[in-house]
Amino acid sequence: MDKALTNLGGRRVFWCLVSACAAVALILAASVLCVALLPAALWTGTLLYALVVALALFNARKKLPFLPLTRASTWLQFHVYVGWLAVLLFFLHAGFHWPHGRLTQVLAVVFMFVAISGVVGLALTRWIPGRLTRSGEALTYERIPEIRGDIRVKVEALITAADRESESSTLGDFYLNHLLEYINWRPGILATPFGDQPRHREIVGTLSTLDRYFNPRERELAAELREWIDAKRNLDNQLVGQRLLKLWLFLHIPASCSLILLGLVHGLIALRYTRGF
Amino acid sequence: MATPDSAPARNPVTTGSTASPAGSGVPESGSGMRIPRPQRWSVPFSDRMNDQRVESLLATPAFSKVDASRFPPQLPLHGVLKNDTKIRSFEEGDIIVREGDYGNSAFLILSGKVKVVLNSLPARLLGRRTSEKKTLFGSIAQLWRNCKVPEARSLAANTLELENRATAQAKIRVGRESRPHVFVQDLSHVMPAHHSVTLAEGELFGEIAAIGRTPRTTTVLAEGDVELLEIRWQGLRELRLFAPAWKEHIDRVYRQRALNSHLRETPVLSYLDPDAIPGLAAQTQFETFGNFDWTTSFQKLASASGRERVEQEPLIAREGDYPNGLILIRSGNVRLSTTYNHGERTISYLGKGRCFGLEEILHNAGNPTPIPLRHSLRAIGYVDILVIPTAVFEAVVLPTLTAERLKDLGLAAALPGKTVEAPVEADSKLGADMLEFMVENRFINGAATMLIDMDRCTRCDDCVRACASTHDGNPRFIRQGPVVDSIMVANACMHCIDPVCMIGCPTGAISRDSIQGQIVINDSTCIGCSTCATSCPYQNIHMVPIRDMGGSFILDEKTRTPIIKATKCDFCIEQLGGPACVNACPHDALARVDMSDVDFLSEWTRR
Repeated sequence: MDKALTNLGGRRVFWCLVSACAAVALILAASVLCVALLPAALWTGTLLYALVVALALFNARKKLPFLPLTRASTWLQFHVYVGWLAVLLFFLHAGFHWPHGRLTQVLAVVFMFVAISGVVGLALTRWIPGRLTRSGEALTYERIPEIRGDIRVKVEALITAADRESESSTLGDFYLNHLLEYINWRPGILATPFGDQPRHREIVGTLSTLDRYFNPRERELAAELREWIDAKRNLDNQLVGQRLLKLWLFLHIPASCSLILLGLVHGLIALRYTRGF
Repeated sequence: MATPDSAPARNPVTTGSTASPAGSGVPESGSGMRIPRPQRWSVPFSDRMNDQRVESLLATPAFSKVDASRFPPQLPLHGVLKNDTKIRSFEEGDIIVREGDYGNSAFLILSGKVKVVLNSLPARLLGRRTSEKKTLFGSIAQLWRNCKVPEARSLAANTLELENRATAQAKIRVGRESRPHVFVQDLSHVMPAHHSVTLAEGELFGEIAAIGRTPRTTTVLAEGDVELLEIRWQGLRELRLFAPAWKEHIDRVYRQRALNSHLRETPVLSYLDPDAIPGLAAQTQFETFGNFDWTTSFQKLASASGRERVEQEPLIAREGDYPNGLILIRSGNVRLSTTYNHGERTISYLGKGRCFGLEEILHNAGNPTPIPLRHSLRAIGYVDILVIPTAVFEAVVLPTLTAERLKDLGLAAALPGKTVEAPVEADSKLGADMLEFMVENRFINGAATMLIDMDRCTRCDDCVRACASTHDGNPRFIRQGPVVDSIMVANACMHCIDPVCMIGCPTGAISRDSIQGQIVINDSTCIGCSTCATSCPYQNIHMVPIRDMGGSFILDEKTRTPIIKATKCDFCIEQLGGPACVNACPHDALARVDMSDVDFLSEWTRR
C-alpha cells in the first residue's frame, strides 16, 4: 500500500519546505533582476502567467482520468502550494502597489478574486465534510429533492395515522399550522451551514409544548415525528453544505479562465510596448 | 481448543444450520401461517433424483462397498445420494470444471471419459475475459469513443446466435440439460497442444476444491458423451465422515496435492527440514467450518443483533480450553474474540496463512503452570483449517524454534520465562466499533474494499465521473454505503478473498484474473442469469439491460425482453493508471484497501 496515503503530515511538511525554498528563491531572483536593471516585470510576469496556466491544468487533469497523470491529490497539493507562490509572484510583479492602468486594475481584481475564492474553497473543503458527516445520514446531492418528498409523504402518513388512531387533532393542527411550512422550506443560497437552525429549534419547541395534550399513542407518534423533523434538519444541512462545496467552484473556475484570457492580453500588450513587435 | 465433548460446533455436521429457539423470544403459538420446519433436505440438489436412480447408483463400484450402517439414521447414505447429488450429462468438448473457478461440488464419472488438462488453457478457450492494458492512444481515445448511451454494446456481438457468441474458440451452447454452458470447439485439434490426462468410469475429480473452497486447479473437458454424478459439498462431507474408503481417498489426495505445500508456506514451520514436512502432514488434521454458500445465512441474519450473529458463527476453539493443537487458517476468515461480561468482544480477525494457539503452546511447553486458550475462534463464512496436534508440534516443530527465530517470528513474548500477554490486536489499532462493524458485515473479505473518509470527502463525485469515463460512460460503483467512525464502505466490488459470486456461474463469465487477481466479468459470455448478483453478499454486482448504440434496448428474440448483463467494478484492470476512482480523488479521501492488512487500515483510518 502507498505510504503517501497515510502519511499526510509528512507530505504537508515536504510541500511547505519546497514552497518556502521556492519563495525565497523567487524573492532573491526578483531582487537580483532589479539590482541588475534587467526587465524584472517581464520575467516575473512571464513566470506568473506560466504558473497560472499550470494551475489551471488541474481542472484539465480531472477530465482525463484514464491517463496515468499521477493522483489528483498530488495535483491538488501542487495547485495549493504553487497557488501561494503565484500570489507572492503577483506582488513581486506588481511591485507591491496598486496598478494604474484600467486593464491591469481589472486583471489585479480578477487575480485577487481567483486567489481569495481558492483560499475560501480550500477552507470550505476542509471545514464542511466533517460537519456533513456528523450532521447525519450521508445523502447524495442529486437525490435531496426526492428525499424531501419522501419525508413529506412519511410525515403526512404519520399525521393521518394520528388523526385516525387517537381521535385527536393536536398533531394535525400542528402539521397544518407549523410543520408543513417547515417541511416545504428550503434554505436560501446564503443560509449559514450547520448553525443553530432557528426554524428547527422553533418547530421542536412547539412540538414539545404540545406534549401536555397527547395521549400515549400520540406521544409515540410525536416521538416518531421528531425523528422526521431531525431528518429534515439533516437534509437542509446536507443541501447547504454540499451546495457550498459545489458553488465556490462555479466562481473559481470561470474567474480562472477570465484570468488566463486577460493575462494573455496584458502580456501581448506589455510585449508590444517593451519589445516593439 | 473446544473438544468434541464440550463443543458440538467442532463436529462439522452440526454446524451452521441448526439454531436453538430457546431464549429467542419467539412465542410458541401465534396466528401466523404454519409450515413444517425446514429440514436439511427440504431443498434437494436435484428434483430428478428418485429411488430408482439411487438404487442404481448404490450398485456402482463407488458405492457398493460403502457400509450404509455407518451413516447416522438422520443422514442415511440413500438420503445423501438422493438429496446431495445429481446426474449430469455432457457432450464432446463441454467444459465441466474450469481452472480458477470456485466450485462447490465434486464429480464421479458414471460413464464415458473426461480429459484433465494439466497445463493452463488460454483464457479465450475458457470463455474468460482477456484483460490487457490499453495503449496510450487507446486511453486517450476514450475521450471521443465513450458512448453517450448508458450500457451500450455493439449490436453485432449481441444479435448473433447464442452458439456463435462469446470468443473465437470458446462457444456457448444450450446442452441436454437446457442450461447454457461453454464448450471448446474442435477438441481433437486443440488438445494435442496441451498436456492432459484421461479419467474414466468410476474416477472422482474436483473433490479438493469442493471441500477446501479453493479455486479449481485444472480444467476438465468431456471427451465424447459423458455421464457424471455431481456431489455437492455437503454430501461429500458426509461421505468423507461416514465412508472410510471415501475419507481415505479424499485425505490422501488432499495430503498429496495441497497439504505439503501449505505447511511449507507457514512461517512458523519454515525452519523445519523439508524432509520432515510429509511426516508432519501425515499427522495433521483438516476440518471445515461454516456454510459453503454462506451468503444466504448472512443475508438472513442481516437484521439480527450482533450477539445473535456471533452465536450463529461455528465455534472452532473456545477460550479457556486446553490448546490441544496449533490451528492454521487455510482459507476463509475467523473471528478472534474474548468473553466480555455476558457477550463476546471481537479482538481481531485472522485470514489465510495465520495461526491460532501458538503463544499458548509455546508457553506451555515444559511449563509447570500451563495456560488455556486466551481467545475463542469462530468461523466467519466458510473456513478451512489445519490442526497440528500439540504433542506433534512439541516433538517436531518446537526443537527448531530457537529464541532468535521466535523473535524473528514476532513471538518474543512467548519466550520461556516471559508472561504471555494479550498481543496488540486489531481492536486496539482500529477501535472496537470499527472492528466489530468490519467483521460483522464481513467487509474483511475484501482485497480491494472501497473506503471513503467522509471527513475528507467533499462529495464532488470526481471518483464516480472518473469511473464512468473509464467504463464507456457507465459508473461501476455507487458512492453510498454504511458509515462507521466517518469511514464509508462504498458499494463497489471488493474483489473478495472468498469470492462467493463466482460460485455457480454457468458459463464461467465471472472469474479471477489470473495475473492481477481481480474478479472480472466477461461481458461476451455473461448470459444474464443473475447468479453472481444474487450471491454477492454486499450487493455490489448490478444487472443492467443493455442497449444498442442508438439507445434502444437489445431484446431477446424469443421473449422480447431486454438482454441483461452483470456489471461491477473491474478495478480498472485495463487502464494504464490503475483504479481511476483512487486517482481521481483530490482530497485523498478514497482508498481501495486490502482488509487483511490491518496495519494499513488502521494507519489510513487514523491519519
